Amino acid sequence: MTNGWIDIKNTDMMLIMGGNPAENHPCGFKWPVEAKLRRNAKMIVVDPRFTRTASQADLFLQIRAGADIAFLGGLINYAIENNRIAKDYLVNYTNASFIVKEGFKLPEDGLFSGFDAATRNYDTASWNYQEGGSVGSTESRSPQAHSSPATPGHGPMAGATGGGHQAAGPAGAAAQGGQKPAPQLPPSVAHDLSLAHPRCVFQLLKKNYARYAPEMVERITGIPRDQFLKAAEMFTSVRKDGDMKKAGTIIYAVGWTQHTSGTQIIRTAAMLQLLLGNVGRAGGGVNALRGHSNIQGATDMGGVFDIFPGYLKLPNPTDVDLGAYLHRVTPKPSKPAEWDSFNYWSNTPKFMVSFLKAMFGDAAKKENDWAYDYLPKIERKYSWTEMWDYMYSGKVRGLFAFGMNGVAIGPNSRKNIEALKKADWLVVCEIYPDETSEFWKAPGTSAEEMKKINTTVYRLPGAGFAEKDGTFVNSARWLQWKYVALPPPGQAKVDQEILARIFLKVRELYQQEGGKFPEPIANLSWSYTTPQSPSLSEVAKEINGRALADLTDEKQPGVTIKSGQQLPGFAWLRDDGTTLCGNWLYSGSWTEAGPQSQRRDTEDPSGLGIYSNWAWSWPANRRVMYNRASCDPNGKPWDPERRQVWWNDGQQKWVGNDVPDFKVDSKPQDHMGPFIMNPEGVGRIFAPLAAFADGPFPEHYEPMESPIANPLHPNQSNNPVAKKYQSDLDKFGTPEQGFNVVCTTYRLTEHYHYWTKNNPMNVQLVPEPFVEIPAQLADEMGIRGGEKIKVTSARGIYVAKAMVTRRIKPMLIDGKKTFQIGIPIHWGYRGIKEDEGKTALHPANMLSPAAIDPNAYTPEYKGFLVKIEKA
Amino acid sequence: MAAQAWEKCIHRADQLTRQSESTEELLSFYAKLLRAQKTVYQCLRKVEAWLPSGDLNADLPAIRTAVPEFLHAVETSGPPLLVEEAQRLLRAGEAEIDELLLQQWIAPRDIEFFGKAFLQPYACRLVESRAQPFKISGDVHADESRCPSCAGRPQVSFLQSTGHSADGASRNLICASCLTPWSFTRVKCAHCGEERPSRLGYFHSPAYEHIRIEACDTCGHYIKEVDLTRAGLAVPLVDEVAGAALDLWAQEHGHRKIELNLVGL
Amino acid sequence: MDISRRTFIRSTLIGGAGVTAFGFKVAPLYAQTRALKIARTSETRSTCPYCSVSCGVIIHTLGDRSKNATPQVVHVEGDPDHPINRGTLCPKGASLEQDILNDRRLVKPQVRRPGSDHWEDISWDHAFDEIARWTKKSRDETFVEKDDKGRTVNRCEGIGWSGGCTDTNELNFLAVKTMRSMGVCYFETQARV
Repeated sequence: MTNGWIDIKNTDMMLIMGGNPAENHPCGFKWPVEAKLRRNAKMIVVDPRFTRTASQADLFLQIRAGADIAFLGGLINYAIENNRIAKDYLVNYTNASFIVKEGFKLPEDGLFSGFDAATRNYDTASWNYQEGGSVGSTESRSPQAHSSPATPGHGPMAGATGGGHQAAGPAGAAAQGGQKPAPQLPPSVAHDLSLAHPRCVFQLLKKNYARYAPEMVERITGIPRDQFLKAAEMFTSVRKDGDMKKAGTIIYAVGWTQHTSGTQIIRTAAMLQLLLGNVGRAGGGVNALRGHSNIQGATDMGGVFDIFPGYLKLPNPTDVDLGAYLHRVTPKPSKPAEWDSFNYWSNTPKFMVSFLKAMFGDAAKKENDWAYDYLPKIERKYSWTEMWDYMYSGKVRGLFAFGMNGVAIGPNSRKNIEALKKADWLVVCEIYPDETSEFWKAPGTSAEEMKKINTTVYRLPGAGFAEKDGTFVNSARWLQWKYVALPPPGQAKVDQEILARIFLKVRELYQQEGGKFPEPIANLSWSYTTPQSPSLSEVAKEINGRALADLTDEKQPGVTIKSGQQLPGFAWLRDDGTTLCGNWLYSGSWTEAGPQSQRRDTEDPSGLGIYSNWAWSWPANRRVMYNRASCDPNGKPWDPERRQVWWNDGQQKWVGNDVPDFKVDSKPQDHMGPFIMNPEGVGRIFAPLAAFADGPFPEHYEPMESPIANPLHPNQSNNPVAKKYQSDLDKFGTPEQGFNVVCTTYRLTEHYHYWTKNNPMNVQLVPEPFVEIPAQLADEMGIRGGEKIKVTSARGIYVAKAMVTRRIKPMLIDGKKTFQIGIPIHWGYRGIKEDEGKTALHPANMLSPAAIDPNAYTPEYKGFLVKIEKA
Repeated sequence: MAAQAWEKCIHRADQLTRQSESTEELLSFYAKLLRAQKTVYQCLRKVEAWLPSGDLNADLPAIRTAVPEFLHAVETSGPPLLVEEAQRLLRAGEAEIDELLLQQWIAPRDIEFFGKAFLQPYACRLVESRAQPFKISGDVHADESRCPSCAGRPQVSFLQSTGHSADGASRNLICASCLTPWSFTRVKCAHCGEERPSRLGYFHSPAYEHIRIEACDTCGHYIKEVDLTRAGLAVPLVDEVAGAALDLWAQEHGHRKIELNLVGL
Repeated sequence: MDISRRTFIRSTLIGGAGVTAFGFKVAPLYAQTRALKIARTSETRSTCPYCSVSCGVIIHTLGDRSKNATPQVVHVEGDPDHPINRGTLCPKGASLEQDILNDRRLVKPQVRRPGSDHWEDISWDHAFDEIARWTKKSRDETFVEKDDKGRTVNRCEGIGWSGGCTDTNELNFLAVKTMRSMGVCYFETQARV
């Protein structure tokens, strides 16, 4: 989230789409309700199903799964056509006025300029700004105001907006592997503050989304034109008659992420919010609900293949040394000459060297390039589905699964089961028996087959949440410490001991026997008081970072951070080896003043729900990101009733109820952009160069399995750069083959993933799987509620009881009657009812395809095709 | 604490007096004391065109008249020690009583029975008639274990649910000086602010479904807590006295009470 | 009265023969005190491990630490002080006690050998030894020091790490350290899916 759970109470308008917080984040949903009760805020809910969230809405629209960009693009078109836009915000805080290079082409035919059909990749050189100064009218609409920031899809915020971090940081810096130097953004960008230039971002935006007229929205989404217009009128009403006081928020979850255009759906929302001036403001923002307790933290901590902690990119083979790597990944400002850009990622060298010091301690020296060679250099994807694909082809020999049930999670669970059969070994650390550790006895595996499965499987009993301490990061970016309530049961151990003892044993083997490149293993910094089971407090302090020499700062005369002391924050990080920091984003979380994540002050003097002294929020304890944008170019809050930060003329600095997300002494006249993580300083309505693999503007593409050809460009129906796999188990179905029902997966309030099927109370509440099918479809097929039905996709089958519902209605998609069904995912072949033989024993993800978003590499769990029949 | 709140305490004290022989003496005394305090309170309310100023010195003429009746009440119902003290004060001059009250007002001590018990209704009246806190000095204000109205120490802690009955219960403390409740964080020592779970012990007995000891290993202090989610009719100040056996247990085990109650436990 | 009396009073309470600070006899209470059967519980602040609202919870555990007994969970409630959930819990959070105290929990290390149709018990030490051996073997067999263009890449492509959604930041950092130092490229968590 750019904002936070409690901040939602400050909103005037909510669009909840791709998420169902009333059921999946019930205790957080009190804040949208609070906004309705206290501010008379309006709530629009768009979902394939009439959910409990929808039941609270002022307006509910049923959408076809996978049609989200069409809907949001339609909103952009409506806002521009009806002048419901935040003009000053747009001109000053976004790249709307930037001129795009000649040669850039919009995707009228489904393809942007630069597509290479052979490699199915884009050459993004033409997706760039034009070099130069002011073009056309130089008349500034706002007093001396002009600067630039990053869109909510970028930088550290990318984590908060559900993926896309690989696009973080310097544009054009994505790993490309080739020898050709990646194109760069121009240091000085041509711009037209009148927004009239035909190649300015605003005009391109307008032109592109003019194609998303209400009639087209209706054809793609199935939402009748008049209903769409009602929603568009309502959502954009916050900018009626040029009013800037109101704020609208967009709230989403994996209903947006899990598509082959997932990242671009979120980007469309971010662009809409920039257009309406809603980012950075109390009650505004782009708010990813995130699925699980520490998904946000896992992303921040580099829990995905392409980043290290703090969204630092992995090096690629062209980065021959640290200098080359830093040169490639550290962005340089790119902005109109008369504007200023903080370009916070310019500090990348400090973050990276401090990270290497945390990794390799004294072995990271200036002479050895801070042990840069120890890090792996990658030039292709190693994402979740790649891993299973390479395991299936025998190349991945062993897997550690620590609390991750890969078989049930899928997609295409059958392939994951078959892949594990080809692995040499599997180490599962879990608290319950799960599908992954027992893949070798998945239903349907005969005794003979089992004998041929040569995988050695270790199942290690780990600790539950109450048995270990440490921090989780919630959707609002709060780090909250939890304490140990009791020890793990039986012989179970805390996870850090299990991991540490495996590692130390590996290190011992390399020390005794040698082997491939043992240096990084031998030199990994592991100076914990109890090496066999590191104290998580010590690890948390290491993540925060400490001084390795006495530090002073010319801007803070008289202040010295002594060698060995905890750092107060990331501003103190150095690139000369005098600081160590595991994750720069979390620097400030455990200072000399103690663990900030343990703070429990319940004061909220501003009444905005900021709670500055409850726990700690990254970055630097700011609760609303990009909050400079909550003020007009002169530094005065757009809404005096909701004052977050403001420019204090007397003190000549930014002050406020929240921590200013800005260079505190940058005067408004200097026109520094509020989106400090972008080299432009402004929000990216147009995302240049390789920021996104599939285009600088989002375009609607059909899901990989779709009931129709894309009405915008039938010859380029799908995302041209989305990934599909080629194995014999990666099959895709078409309507012609009889797969004519759109299927979406979802979660229930009473269950958590594949976990609570082991918990008697939850099982009692919802004991067995079901498939939610529209009443009309049930009537047509003669299916009655409670009868078993068989759902088949090109990849597998799923048998469960039918739950006949009026909450999903048949839709007209491009003139074709289309049914959608929904499957809750919570069952498999190990659980209370599973062990009693009471369920179908198939994970729902037997059905889902490995069709992958090219930016976040997330599979398309929503909106694939199935057929149903009586079982 | 308004008139009906005194009545509620009295009613509860009467009710509990009949329930247990072991605390009968304590509770029957406390019931009478509460009646005497209520009389003081009503007496203060009846003074025409007068509101307590918070400057006790200036307010003394108005409240002094209620002293004799209050002392008589203690004299007729208390244990010998308090009877003796009441009689001594009845004989004492105005100046001595003034001095005693002023001392207690400036630096409250739980061991000073008469000052504490007599000033409670005065402080109650003061709190309800003023929007602003009084007696807050810089240092004390920063400490959330002190009453936000008068900086007094907590007499008792209580839990109540603020929303749905299934929700976790919120914690409040009641001021020993002015009887005002204020909200206070759970899992935190009400004396020294300790928050580490391993340092805080909660002692329960099946004999008391709704009263427990909250003790801190760091500072050695404890407070009793009345759980209104388990006993909705309980009145924390009174049930605290009824849980006297727990005090005995706690004090025998070396825990020190943050603030003695009006029966001296 | 004198404050010093308090110390005196305290000592006189012991044994039941004394009086309270204000002179009440404690003898009638004393028998009751003897029969109290006091149990110590702890209240531990934690965070619900389910969704990302991160509701504060308070876990009540029973167990006298002085007797070195294993604490037992007796109650889990919403943390009323938490600014987001304010004491509320959803049906999942409300059943957390059953997640902690659950007879389906895994309580010993096990191994399934190649071709086998059952789990066997294994000691932790043996498990660590074998897993380390496998790890080294797979790493050594698949490690790429230089790519086909002769560039140093130091990749371990034969081992994957998949981390869970309730792993703490600190465990995740230890995973980054250990796996990345081994050169592991397939480093993924629930954050992806």
